[in-house]
Amino acid sequence: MERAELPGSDLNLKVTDVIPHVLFGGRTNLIFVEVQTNQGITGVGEASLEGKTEAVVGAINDVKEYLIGKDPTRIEHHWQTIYRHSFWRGGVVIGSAISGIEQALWDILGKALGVPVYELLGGRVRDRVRLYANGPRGETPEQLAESSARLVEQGWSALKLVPWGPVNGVADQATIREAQRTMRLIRDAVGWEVDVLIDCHGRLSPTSAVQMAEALAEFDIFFFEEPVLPEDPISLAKVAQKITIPVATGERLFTKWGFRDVLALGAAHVLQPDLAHCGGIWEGRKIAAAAETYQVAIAPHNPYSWLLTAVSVHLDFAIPNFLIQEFLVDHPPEVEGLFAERFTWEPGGWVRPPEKPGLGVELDWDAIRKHEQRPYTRTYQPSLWHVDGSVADW
Amino acid sequence: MKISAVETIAVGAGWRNYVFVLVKTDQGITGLGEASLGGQTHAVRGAIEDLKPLLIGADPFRIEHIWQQAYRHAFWHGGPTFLSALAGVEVALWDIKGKALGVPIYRLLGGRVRDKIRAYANGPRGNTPDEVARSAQELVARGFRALKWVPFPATPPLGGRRFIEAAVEQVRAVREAVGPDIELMVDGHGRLSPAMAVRAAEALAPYGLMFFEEPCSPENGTALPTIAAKSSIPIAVGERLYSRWQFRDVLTARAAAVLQPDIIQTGGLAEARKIAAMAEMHFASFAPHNPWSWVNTMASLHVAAMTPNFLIQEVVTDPEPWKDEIVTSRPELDADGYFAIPDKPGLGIELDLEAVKRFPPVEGLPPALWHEDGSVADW
Repeated sequence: MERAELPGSDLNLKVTDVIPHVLFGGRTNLIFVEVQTNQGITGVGEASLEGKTEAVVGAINDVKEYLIGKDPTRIEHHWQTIYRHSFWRGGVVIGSAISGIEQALWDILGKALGVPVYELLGGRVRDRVRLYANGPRGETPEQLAESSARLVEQGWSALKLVPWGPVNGVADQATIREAQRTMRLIRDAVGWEVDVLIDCHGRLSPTSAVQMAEALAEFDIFFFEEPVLPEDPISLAKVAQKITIPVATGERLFTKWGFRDVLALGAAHVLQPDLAHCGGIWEGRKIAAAAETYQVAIAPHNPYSWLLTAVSVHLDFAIPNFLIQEFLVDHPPEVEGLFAERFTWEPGGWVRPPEKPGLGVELDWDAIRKHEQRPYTRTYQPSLWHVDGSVADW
Repeated sequence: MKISAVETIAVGAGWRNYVFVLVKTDQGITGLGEASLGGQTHAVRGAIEDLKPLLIGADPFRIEHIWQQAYRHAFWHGGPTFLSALAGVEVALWDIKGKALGVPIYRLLGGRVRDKIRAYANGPRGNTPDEVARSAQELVARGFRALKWVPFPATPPLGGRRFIEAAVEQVRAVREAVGPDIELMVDGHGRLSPAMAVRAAEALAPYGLMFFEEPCSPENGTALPTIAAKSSIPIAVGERLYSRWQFRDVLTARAAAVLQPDIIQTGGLAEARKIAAMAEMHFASFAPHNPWSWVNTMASLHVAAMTPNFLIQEVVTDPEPWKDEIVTSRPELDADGYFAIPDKPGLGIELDLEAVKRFPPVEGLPPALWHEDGSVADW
């Protein structure tokens, strides 16, 4: 039952429509959520999720009927309703849908009150936010090293890459040597002042994770991301206790409940909630507050568009235990064209505080409507295979 | 906007004092917060004085940043004296931000998640079972549907059932007086040893209690999970846990069903909100402690309004002139024992700066409790 509006709801805002927009994005489709209101304020959010476009769009449409007519500023309440009234709690599909919607609600509240979203999260706790480049690309160690050098020339001070393909449960010596060669070439190319982050992408077993970390420790690695798959925090804790490279994890953990045991087990030094999957900005804020009690840092995951980058940056400005922000360096030009303004950063990867109300992202709606006509990717990707034709974790 | 002045006001409130903080800005907006801590008036006011160099000239919108500087700079973290001072400032900053943006505070922290706020009386009072039962009936007549009190006298570390009997007699008398539908809670106030707390939980189990608060001293973190495992009455704790870092271990050990941070002693309403989020992670409920003035009650109501796992709000409603006469308005309990959601910008309550002058602060130590042999007992 919807209760009568109470005093204190004097902004008189009502949701009039919730519209998912699917856009071809190159590496993966982009899913933007548009929340319209009766006062002409429109909020936007990003819910992009590899390989599950129709499910996320469907999940957004499932809650449209509930949201229309509601006060968009009751953000926590709508989160609770959507998450808990679903009964089938959690998972990445509902997590992404709720995240995109939730971001749009913060955008609306910020615009209604005339302040950037970080002001609604306790205010700004830092003067600038550091980005790292999800960047070096290449098929060979030489190509990865050359790509790394180019990124440093462009002004980046921190780079992240996945330096291997499929790895067996116990890593072959040749695989280990090739990973060492890659990292040696990268260090030769960029020197030792640049922070180099390794993303294991859940491709390793608890055993091969320790093998790889021991083999690569000499290259002064900033953090070792998702050394093992996220379903097993106990193994992650054992890896973290054994290796000297700090462990990061979190892009595939959802909501505060998903992060709880990782913290209690001391299984990671860095948490990487993705604000497009974990439940949104406020959920990220809760996860960060819990992480703070364990002296664990936050580095939000974000291989998506400038919209999620802006969303993430607002949280980064508001949380004391922020470490570094992921940023995807290569967007197709037509994706960049969806934005009225380019996302800008300063040499070293620094971002200044946003000043516009809400998220401060201006989309080019004409370009979006035009781009929406283009067919988006419908294959079940991405995928990775072992040499014997069996499935490997991407 | 810049902070231009920070002032404190101490108000005599019976045996103790309320401490209020006024944070003024160059744009004419003044924020109000409460920093009361029974028996530590001078220390808390001193701690606020220590914070002035940080506050004067600062942007009052950067609440988390100011909190981080206050808590982490100057090296010596936390403690109830300092956190009470910081909370008074922090709530005043939220009051400023809400007034500047024209919305109640809860709208700045995720919005309202409920329509009304359930309350319980820190009440019945009395020295005999009959007195306590009559007092309970009066509170029920005033609209309360839930009551909490401390039925335990000074209790030795070990002893037979006879040492628990006084509490059992009070609880039995109150239950018979108010009937089965009124929620009752007992507060151990840290007076019991772990062994006696387990005996008390067994003896009180037949009376349908909502929770058993602070069954043992909060410093005894390893005993609490054991008591919780043995008690059929849900365990509540938190008025003497300060900041998230202390609540963390209680949650990890699954040692309490209900967390009771006080907005003041835990460092402010955003800190209490963070503790509630951690409780949500562990499926624990949130019932803020609050034996203070209407100002902290209002701060607590904002947190209750925006927190999903909120259970019930403590409030003292004894008709006390120093509580009722120093504010320009106060929240009213409805016939079902609920408070309304605050509706004014900011905190939604102001001090009557003339009326406070009628209640000068008192000096001296807070009430004390003694064992039969003259040694110190925990109050």
